[in-house]
Amino acid sequence: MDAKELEVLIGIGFTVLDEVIAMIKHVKGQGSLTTEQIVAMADAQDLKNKEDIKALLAL
Amino acid sequence: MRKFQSLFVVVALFLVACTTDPYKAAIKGSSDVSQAVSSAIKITASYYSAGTFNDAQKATAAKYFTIVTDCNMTFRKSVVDVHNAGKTGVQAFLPIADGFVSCVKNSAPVVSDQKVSNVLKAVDAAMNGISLAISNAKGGQ
Repeated sequence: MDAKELEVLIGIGFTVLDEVIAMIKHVKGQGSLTTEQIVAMADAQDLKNKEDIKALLAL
Repeated sequence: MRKFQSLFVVVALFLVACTTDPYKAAIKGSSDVSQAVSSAIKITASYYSAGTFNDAQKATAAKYFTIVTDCNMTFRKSVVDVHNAGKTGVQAFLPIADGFVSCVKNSAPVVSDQKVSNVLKAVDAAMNGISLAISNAKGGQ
């Protein structure tokens, strides 16, 4: 493995770790919300996901 | 890298294990799927930018994310409608959760590529865990 490959691997590793942390924060954040607030949050997240999918396809 | 992905799947499974009543369990499960899709999109973008995914792999993952998101929105709306109709028991919500899984299976592309499949695992885990979370919820029969 050369330096460039190692750099790429570390970059991906950090992204995955960031997302694991994001999921843990998501669980903790839901604890204090009402069901209606979670519905609103999920609705907003799905709309954002649709935009993010468009951005992913445009890469 | 597979260890990182396994950690990701474990967290996704943990998400669906902590619930209260069947309605809230279903809504939390839906929200967890939304979060899992969000994370998987970012990981896919990272893989593509790094050259780990090619155009076809990226497109397959994106199609899967679109289908899961659409089915999840339909699932959540059905759960809210059932709740607003005054139904409270586990049996009121389980068929909707099963419908969510079927919705994805019937529309999603067959993913035989192991690299793509690994990225989708956390989304699948969150989605398949909704029925379990509803079944384990308290306060409803």
